[in-house]
Amino acid sequence: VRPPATPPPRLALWLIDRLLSPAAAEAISGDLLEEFQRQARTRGAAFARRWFWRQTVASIASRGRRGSRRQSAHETRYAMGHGAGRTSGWTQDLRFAVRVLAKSPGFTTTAVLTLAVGVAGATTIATAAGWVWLRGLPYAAADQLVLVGESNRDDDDVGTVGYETVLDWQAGLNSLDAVVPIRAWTPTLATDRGAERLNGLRVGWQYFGMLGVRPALGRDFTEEDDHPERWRVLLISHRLWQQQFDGRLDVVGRAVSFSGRDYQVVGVLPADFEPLISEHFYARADVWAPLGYAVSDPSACRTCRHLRAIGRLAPTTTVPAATAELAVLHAGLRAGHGDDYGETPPKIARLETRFSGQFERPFQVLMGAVAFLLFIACANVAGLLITRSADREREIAVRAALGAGRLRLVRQLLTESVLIAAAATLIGFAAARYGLVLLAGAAPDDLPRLDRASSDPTTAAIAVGIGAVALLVFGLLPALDGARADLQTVLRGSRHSAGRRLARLREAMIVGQVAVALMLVIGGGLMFRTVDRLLHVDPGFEPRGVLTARLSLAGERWNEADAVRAFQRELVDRIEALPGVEAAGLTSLLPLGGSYDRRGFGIEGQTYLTPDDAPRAERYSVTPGYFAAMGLRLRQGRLLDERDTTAFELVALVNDTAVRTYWGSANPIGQRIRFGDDSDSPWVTLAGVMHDVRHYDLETPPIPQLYLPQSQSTDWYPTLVVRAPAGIDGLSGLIRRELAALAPDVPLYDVVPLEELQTAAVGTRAFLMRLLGLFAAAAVLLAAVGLYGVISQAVTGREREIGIRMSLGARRAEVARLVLRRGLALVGAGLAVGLAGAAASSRLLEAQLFQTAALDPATYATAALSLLVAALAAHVLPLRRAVRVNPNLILRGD
Amino acid sequence: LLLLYVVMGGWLGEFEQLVLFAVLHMEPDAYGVTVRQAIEDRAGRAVSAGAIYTTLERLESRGLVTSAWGEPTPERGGKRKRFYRLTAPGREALGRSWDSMRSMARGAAQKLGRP
Repeated sequence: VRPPATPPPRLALWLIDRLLSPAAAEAISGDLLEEFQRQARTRGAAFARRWFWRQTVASIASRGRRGSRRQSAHETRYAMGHGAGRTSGWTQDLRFAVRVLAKSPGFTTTAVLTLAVGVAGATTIATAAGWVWLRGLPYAAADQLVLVGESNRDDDDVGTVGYETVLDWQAGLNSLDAVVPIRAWTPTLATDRGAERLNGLRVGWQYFGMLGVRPALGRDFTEEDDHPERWRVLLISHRLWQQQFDGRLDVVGRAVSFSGRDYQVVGVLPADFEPLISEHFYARADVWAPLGYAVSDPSACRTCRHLRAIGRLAPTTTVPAATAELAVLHAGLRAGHGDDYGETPPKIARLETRFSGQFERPFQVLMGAVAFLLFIACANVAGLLITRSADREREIAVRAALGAGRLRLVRQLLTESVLIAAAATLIGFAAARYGLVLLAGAAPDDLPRLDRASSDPTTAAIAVGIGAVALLVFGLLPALDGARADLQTVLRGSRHSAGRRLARLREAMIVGQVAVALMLVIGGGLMFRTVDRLLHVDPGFEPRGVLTARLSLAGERWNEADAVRAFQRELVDRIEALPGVEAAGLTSLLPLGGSYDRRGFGIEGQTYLTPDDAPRAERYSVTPGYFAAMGLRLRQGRLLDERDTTAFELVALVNDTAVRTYWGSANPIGQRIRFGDDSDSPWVTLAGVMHDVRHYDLETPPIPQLYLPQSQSTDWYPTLVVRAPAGIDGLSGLIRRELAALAPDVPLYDVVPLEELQTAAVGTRAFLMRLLGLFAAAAVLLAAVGLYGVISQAVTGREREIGIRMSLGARRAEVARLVLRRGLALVGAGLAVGLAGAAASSRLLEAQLFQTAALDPATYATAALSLLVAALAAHVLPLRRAVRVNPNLILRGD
Repeated sequence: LLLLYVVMGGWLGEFEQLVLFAVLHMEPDAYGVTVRQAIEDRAGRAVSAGAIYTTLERLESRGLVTSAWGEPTPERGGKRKRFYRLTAPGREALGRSWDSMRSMARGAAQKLGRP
């Protein structure tokens, strides 16, 4: 059996066809194709493609270089500009340009690679931004999709809602074509590899219809499915279908068992369906079932606010209009069910804004950064072209004298630029493909859809567009200027006719490059400082050598709280007995874990006017081992231990902030609190005070926190925390084994080292920092290269002057000063412009900064200094050349 | 004038010799791929397909080789092969080149450190 044929690079084939005579093109491309397949089989497709490209370029170039008589004749005709009348004028231009570029490989390589850096960066970021930020949601008329929800206060986000309220909205709103309730759902599936927890959603039956999505296989949900007795039907994702059902077509109608209950698969969603809307948004979902509520359900009440509502605006409505209608409806509902609703009317927000809004700023910054980088690259290439066109003045002037029209010459110079841009675009595009993979790897988890941002025709189009813009920036000017060469001046030998004008242009570019590079370095520096500050925040726990994982005790077997507690005790005991494990515990809530459990409570002896004024704290229900496993620090009193079961006095711990906020300077130990505002709920005695822990993220100041023994309040979805100082590699396997032995139906999921949660809390910023740092480094490098070119050229141009000065007794230091003065004046101007630009634009970054001023003097100074050092480094070689000028040689040569 | 003499078929360049030898070795199966491989295998030189055709076309215009289209094959993407063979003047020219090279090389082996 022959392996499938590898596709050859089509563009290369096209180039051969376009640039070579038909007969040669057929023979050569046939040969290359034939060998390509062999290379692909023996050395791999990637090697073969590279080989094909090398051969193509070499073949096209060599047919120019090893010119035959016929081709020499071409060249002559060409030089005289007579080729223009022929139909193959462009082909000729192209062939000639390939030959010219191939003759100076150093120039060509530098120009192409420099530009490719800019194109690759810009293409990568633009593609990523397109997916994450600019591209609409992948649903039909997605700009009409909205999130609808109640909220407590005006400045609150769009919140959750109860089922009956959704029904009223569905019936009473004209401005929304659909309002569909959804809720998170995480069933447990038994597989050969053990229990697996699936991410899913329970949705109103109209959900997929509203999104404009139809199952690829089977059917959508119907109104009949959305019923308390009949809701156990499933739509599954393409991924789950492939993975669990091997992509079998008879999956529709099959029964699936989740925690001992049967569900029937009714359909499979298309492979390209993006389940962006899930519990936390962006998270992957694999299974959907109808909500199946009835008004009589206890969980369907108006105050049972656990549902999110997704809606679709009627075609001609706007968000404000819909919000206004909703407010009227809300007022009506308040009149009927006053106790159930707050004063604040419900809110509506476009889903797209919600998805992309938070990434708008970081991506604006990144887009700006790559635009700068691209500019620097373009300026460098323009500089190279200008230098070159000064060298080629003679050639161009001769050709002009032989009768080539100015337009013709411009066209020729432009063709060379086009070729450089095209090659850079190709390389940049290829690099962007890797760039996107790297980007997806480096991106924080909450950046949506970046894994989808692979290179596709759009990326290619973006790359071509960027290449074209770059071409305009770097190519047009030198081409126009270069063709202005005047034979008289040139042949008379005054070499600097156009040179002076162009040198000034190039100097202006250097100022711009330095300025822009400085802005990038400052941006990167500010982000670096921010991330550094964040990572130095004391989270209140000791994350090193700690593994966390979640458990899900779903199913009939776990209905009894006693069974759950016994299992949890047994599991923790077994894990603590594992080799290398120092401590293990369970908690209902993990700091930095993305969940909240804010509870109101009452303090003995204190009263509050309204429930809103009552003390509130984040509640952690934990086993005794949790404190040691997390490395929490006790301030006062005692930790929870095995004695604190329901049989004894109810106890709790609080943190510093809670004490400060609610007890002031009084000693909290022995004080009593209780949950709920029933006067018959039991009192809980405070037994100790813990050090503060950062819960939401690293920058939000600590909030009041409460620790309760898990034996007093059972938790069915606990997080396991295991401390193993010697290392947590392989620990999850051991834990899984213990779990499988104890309860094979319980899945272990979200296995994450605690350190990773800390890093993830810095996520978007670290991402921004890394990218800005990368772009800044590239920018500094390119700017230094550009500066080197200018200084080097200036030294060459002034060799005579230097020689004369030295023969008149100038010392080396004076010569060095001469060279440096010119270069440093440019750099100084660039730094000044850059500092001003950074100060003006740093506001863009402000929201991302933490304990760092947007105008942080240290960062600005360090950045300017580092750029100055780079600039000085660019001076080293030309300076050495300048001070070694031998006056005798120079003057004799004159 | 020198160029003219070369063009008129007076003598052969080094690369032309390589190509002619390769065609000679590969006849009657001498086309781009086999010629390229022969040069690569025997002379250890990597050359581009384009360079070979440039040379072959020049040799053909000087009457030293002749060529004909072969059949298109699927692995060539439906493209035809261009087969080359030496003409009588081609054999003559290559032979002459070789003779002169051999007589020039006589006794040089030791000085060049070759066996």
